[in-house]
Amino acid sequence: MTQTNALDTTENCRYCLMCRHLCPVGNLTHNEALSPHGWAQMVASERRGLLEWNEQSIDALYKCADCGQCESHCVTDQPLPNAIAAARTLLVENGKAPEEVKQLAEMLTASSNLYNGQVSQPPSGKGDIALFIGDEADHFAPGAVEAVLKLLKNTGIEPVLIGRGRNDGLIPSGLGLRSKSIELANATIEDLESTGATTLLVLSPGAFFTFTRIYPERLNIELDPKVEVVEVTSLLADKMESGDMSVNKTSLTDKFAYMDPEHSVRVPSRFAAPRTLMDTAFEGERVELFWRKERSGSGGATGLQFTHKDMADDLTRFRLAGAGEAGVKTVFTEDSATFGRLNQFAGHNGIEVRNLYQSLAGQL
Amino acid sequence: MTYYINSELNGKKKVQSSKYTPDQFQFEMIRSELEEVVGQKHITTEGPAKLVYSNDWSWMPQMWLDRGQPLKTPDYIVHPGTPEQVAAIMKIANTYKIPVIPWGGGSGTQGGALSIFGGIIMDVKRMNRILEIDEQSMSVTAEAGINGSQLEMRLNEKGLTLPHYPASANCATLGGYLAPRGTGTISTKYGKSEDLVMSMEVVLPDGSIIETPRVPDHASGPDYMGLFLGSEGVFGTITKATMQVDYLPETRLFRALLFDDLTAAIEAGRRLMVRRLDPTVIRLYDPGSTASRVKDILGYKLEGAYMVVGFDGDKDIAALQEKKAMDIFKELGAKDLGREPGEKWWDHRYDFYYPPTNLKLPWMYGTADTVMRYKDVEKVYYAQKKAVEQTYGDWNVKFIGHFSHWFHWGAAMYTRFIIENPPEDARDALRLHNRVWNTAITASLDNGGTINEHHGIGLKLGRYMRRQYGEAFDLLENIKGAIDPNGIMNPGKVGF
Repeated sequence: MTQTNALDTTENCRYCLMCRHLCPVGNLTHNEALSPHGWAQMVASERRGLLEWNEQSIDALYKCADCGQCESHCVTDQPLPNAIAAARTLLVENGKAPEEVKQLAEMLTASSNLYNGQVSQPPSGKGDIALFIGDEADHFAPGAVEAVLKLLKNTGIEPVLIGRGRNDGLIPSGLGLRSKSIELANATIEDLESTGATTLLVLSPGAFFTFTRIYPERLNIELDPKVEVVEVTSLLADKMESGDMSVNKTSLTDKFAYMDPEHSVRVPSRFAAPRTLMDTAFEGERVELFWRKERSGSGGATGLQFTHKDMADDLTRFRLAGAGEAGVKTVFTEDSATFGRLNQFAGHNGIEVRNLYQSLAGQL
Repeated sequence: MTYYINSELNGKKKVQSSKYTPDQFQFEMIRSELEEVVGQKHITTEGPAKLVYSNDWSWMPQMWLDRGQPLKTPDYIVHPGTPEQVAAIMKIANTYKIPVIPWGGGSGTQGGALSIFGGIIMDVKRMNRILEIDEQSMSVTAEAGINGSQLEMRLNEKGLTLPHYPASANCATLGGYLAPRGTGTISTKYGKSEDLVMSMEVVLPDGSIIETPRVPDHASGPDYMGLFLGSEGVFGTITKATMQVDYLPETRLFRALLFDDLTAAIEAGRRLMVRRLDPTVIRLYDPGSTASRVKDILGYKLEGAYMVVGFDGDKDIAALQEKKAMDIFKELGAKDLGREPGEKWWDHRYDFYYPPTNLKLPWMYGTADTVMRYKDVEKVYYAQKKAVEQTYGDWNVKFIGHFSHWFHWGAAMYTRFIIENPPEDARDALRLHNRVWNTAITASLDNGGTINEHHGIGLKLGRYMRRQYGEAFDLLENIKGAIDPNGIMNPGKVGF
């Protein structure tokens, strides 16, 4: 899709309000301008000469979280997040990107990592199954990758590791750093091809969405059709259900819950898998949170954490507050970025946040 | 504008360009007062927000912007968090005589939320708490800014529902349900929003905060709550409401039927209602709508009048009601299309409003919904159809409609005009649009209909209020003058 075609989506979304109820930023700010139709209207108005991209309007455009709620709830699947990304790409190309975005671009040039400046590691070898690590796991949840490897080994899978330390491209593409995202994607594809793998395991719904949707739809890059992308959570749930894997069940005395991680709404087929793992591994009173599954909004683990940290922090607190309202004392999630952000604020609500992968590995 | 001022500083004379206009001094002073009420975080005067708040879901401003023309924008957008803050904003607005436009979801189709004189947009969405769910009395009390679908999802968690299902539920607020006397998809059984509301808290234009009695049905004097239902903000700002709720039904049964002619279909609907069979929904599409909207959205190619009928509640009761309804349909020669097309309609009933399958720009369109007694239903329908089609035949106008909300005494008609190639010039388009509306409303009023059934009056239809009410409109004007002497509450709307 061309950038102009992507922008055309705003013609459909500018006066449509049908996804407003689930936009986490709109719910947080209560501001019409900071909701899907507001962003669409800004882009459409700029194209008509009614709005200039200046400090205020660019700032407003960059307050979209790129969480996918709007598109996921659209009956006609309008790809508004791609349109906003395309508008941001034009700003980047015209040198109008916010300073934070420019800094991220420099960081990606130096290291391909958004968080700690480390250079990504080469593939660990060759094999049928590869596991994409990315740059979030080691940064937000030290030990989580080893937990995943232990769990996979228990099922007889020893994957080749690729992209350890390299961003998957989702956040940069949403921030308008399209050419950087393409570089990241091409590097990962090159790694993947060098392993010969036909199964690509990923650690989060965000990564799953990136490889299956962001690559083709936002970056015009196709994975080799022979490669099947599988979320580790789904694979483990299948193994549990088939009896190929088991863990020692742990009893929890207080209410606990699973929190759907960032971008879950973009992969609705995954809702059951983590719950299967939860019910296999824990007994006690597991409750479902109000903001769950198809309405599980952003918890701030998006580009907002770089461009609008206060807003990202508020989104994280909002999700924890929802758990608090439900009387939950322990929250589980497996996506490292989601885990890391929740964990950062958990103490304020008296809630313990646990990494699901690490918990499961500890119960093998 | 650039101002030049002579100034003398340290003995040096120079001409200096000023940064601000004189009006901006007053603007900033008022902004500071508003900021002290709601907090810095909850007020915006930035251009992008002003642009987005300059239009609502009505065709007129959307078309104007679509043609690249700017609209009058609000000066301030404030987000109060309590009724006391709303009251304080009203005090400031009265002091400076600034318009205040209450804003919920901005989903009105009549231009009721447009800031045509600038002023303060008072977006109430921050007031979004559920205050009480009373399962014994089957009611929910919530702040007026709560989103309709979010309220519904919260109730559903407890097995309850607020049986007001407007197409705008995803974007509208509770206050927005009430302010224009809105109607939802299943109003035929459960009533309009005004039938579901038990009590309200309202901030009057002078900043007084009042509550109506806790229960709606009593004999303790006149029912002044009705004054605020349909007021669209001109009499005050709804800040809280208690609504009746129901249990989620054990079953929902839907069927679709096809009638050869509209007359028999309307009669079928009437018989269901006057025999008190309590249908949840009767949705009757005229032949034009059946051939276009039903085909485009649901995928059924049919000739005639397509009807969906539904019953809900306890399984046995709903089944019996449906059986009796089917007897009536059979008597009137309807073809039973079965459950699937009825259930599909229910599952996709809001798809009609999603782009790109909805009515959309650059088309010109309008929905002249109205309500009348059964004896006038066909008269109004055909009068509107004939007047619109004949007058605007040169524009290849399409006139379609459906009958969506049924009462014991009559039915609501949701007729639409569509012109696919309207004038390109914004002014010409707006004038043509307003002329078509004039034709439709005149036909309605002259034949037993009302200006509107559930979309309200707003800016678009205010000019017809006196025509509908006659001298009774003086009474409403006197009330308006008494409670809003400065005329600051949503000026230019509902005929005031």
